[in-house]
Amino acid sequence: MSKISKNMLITIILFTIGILSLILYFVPIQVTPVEKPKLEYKILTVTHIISGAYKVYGNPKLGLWVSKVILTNKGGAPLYDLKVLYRVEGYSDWSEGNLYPILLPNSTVIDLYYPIFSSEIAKLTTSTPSNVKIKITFTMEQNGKPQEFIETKPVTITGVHDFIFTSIPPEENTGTFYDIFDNYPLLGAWATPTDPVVMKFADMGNKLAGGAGASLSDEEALKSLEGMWALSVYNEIQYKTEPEAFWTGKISQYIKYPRDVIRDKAGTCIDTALFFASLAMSQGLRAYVTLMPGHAFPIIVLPKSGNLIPIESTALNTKSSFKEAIESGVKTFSEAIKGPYIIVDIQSFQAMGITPPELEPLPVDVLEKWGIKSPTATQPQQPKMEMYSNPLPKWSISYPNDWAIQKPNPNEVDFYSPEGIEMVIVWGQGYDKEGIRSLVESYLSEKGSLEITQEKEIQVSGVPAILVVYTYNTMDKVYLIVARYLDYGGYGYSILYDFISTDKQETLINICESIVATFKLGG
Amino acid sequence: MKQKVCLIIVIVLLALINMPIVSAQVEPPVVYEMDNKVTFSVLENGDAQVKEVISLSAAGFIEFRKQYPMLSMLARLFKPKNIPLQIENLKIDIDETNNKITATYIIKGASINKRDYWELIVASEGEKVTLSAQTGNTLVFTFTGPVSVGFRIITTSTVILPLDAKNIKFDETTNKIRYELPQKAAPMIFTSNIIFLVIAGIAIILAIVNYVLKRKAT
Repeated sequence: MSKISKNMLITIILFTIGILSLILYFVPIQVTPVEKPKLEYKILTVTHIISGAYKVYGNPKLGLWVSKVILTNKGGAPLYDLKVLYRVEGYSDWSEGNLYPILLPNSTVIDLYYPIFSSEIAKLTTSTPSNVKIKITFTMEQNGKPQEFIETKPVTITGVHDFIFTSIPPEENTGTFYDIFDNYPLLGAWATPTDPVVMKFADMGNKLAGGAGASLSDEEALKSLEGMWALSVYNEIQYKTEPEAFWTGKISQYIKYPRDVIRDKAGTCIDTALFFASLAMSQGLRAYVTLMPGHAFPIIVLPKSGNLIPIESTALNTKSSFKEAIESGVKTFSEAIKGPYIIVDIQSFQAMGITPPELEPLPVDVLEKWGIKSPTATQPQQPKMEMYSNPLPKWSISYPNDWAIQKPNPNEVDFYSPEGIEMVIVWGQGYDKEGIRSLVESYLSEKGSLEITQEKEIQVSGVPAILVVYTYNTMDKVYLIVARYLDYGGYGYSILYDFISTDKQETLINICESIVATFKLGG
Repeated sequence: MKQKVCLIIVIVLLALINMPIVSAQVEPPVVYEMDNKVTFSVLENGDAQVKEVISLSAAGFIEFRKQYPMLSMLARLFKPKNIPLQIENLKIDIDETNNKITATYIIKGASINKRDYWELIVASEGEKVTLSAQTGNTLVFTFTGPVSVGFRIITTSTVILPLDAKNIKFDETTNKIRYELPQKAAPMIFTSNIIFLVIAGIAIILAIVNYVLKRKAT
């Protein structure tokens, strides 16, 4: 009984275990599936880097990335410590990169590359090929072994003067005005109001206008602008027609910096627009460059009223007055606002960080070297002086070398200026100053009417003398005569000059007085 | 002679400068205002579903359409090639009658997971953005953009964060929203354990064998 019971017991236990296990098999349990992350990425890179505006790329606020990487985790488990590093071969170091600690399944991160370029890039004068290197690192599990991908994308770096009008690729570009000028904010990098060369030119113009403080009032601003315009006209800065393909936006275009316009005394309408806008800005005025199909012109904002002064810079060619250039500018502006147009607010764009590259330092006197002159600076310059030394009695005087000299007799030397001034120095042995004066006055009185208007005692070459001013009427002409009488070393001297009375006699007197001041007695 | 010519030029120029200026001037061009209402619904994976409604005055709408005559150009306004964001599924609807433009799209990776929290950039650092209201997981911002090509955009952005978002903070300095989102456990699946079936099989077979052998022995 006990043996049977034992075997039955084993059978019952095994059967029970079997039934229970079968029940357990049919009871569902929760488990976590074993999944892996899977990184997928897409890299976008610009085709051109505009070296003239290289600073904008390093400013994330402007959003002008050079490379954009879209990374998505298409797997079922998170990715860890994702990082993207970049460099532009030859012009930037590896970037520090942003760290994304975790990328969950079905999540995306967008990583952007804003390269800090070395200023060397602005020394490129022609388009140069380069590469953007992209390094992606991540781990498949926390603190796991890093994995790495490296990709290379080609890029062209433009010359420092080359501007790409549009960033829209040809397949997307509709060819409309706004598509062609998609890159218009970057024109802000071609306006250089703080370039010392531009500032000096603007200051010269401002000085020409009487040193107006342009930002003080609308009137002063207009005066200042007019001075700068006049200086540009005077220096024959010319508008040069663009090549036919210029406005198509299909290729990069050469745009001059304002200093280049001054140096070359020429520029296209966009060059001259940037030039004039920069001049105005250097004087504290706000300036815009307006783009319209096939043309560009500057607009200056008056400081008080806020009214706009459109200037037709192509009027430089016809040497138009500033007033005419504005009238023409208003007509152009009216045309512009009828169709598509863009007003480039240079100041705003520059405040956002679209600033010019460092331009090569130039000598302080570069404007003179380039032949830039101010009308005031070209007023009749003081000609070179020559000295006449009389052998006996010994005396000397310096006179302008464009004056003629004559010796009608042994006791007289005459000097004649191109303007008609006559200066006569006579002497006589044994005469005192009164004696020589009587001699001269008698001679003059014989030929005309002599009237003394002024008389006083002075010093000439350290010797007491008499100064007499006459009005002399002869042969229906009125002369002004200024005479000095003195005696020295046994000789009486008369130094006089005369010219026909004019309304400019003050200038002529000044010229003559500066000559008389050089008269010296003795050796 | 040369000097005389120079002198004449000087005199002419000086006379020009001293001339009374009766300059032609023009009024600044009209700047149209664009009322832009944007709703960002942030998803749990960090993407954002966006609806943007731009309203203009009748004159402003005409000017706007002049600048963007084609739908493809308008599409580029929302999704320019060089935009820092990644926009997908863009749909644009133009309501000529009410001078409105409506766009819907998804911004991929709008919010970034920083492991312990999420971060959503509302605007660039330094941009003047005002948080005008915050209720639960919804934040409302207003800002006025600069004048661009004759338009000034006044934007009201409503950001709706995921329902479970907590500890929501807006940093005015960086213009970023920081929030926490409980990380959901990995999805579980229901299954049966084959071991129990094997054990059941073995146990039943042994039970039968034990029973049969015993019967034969007796």
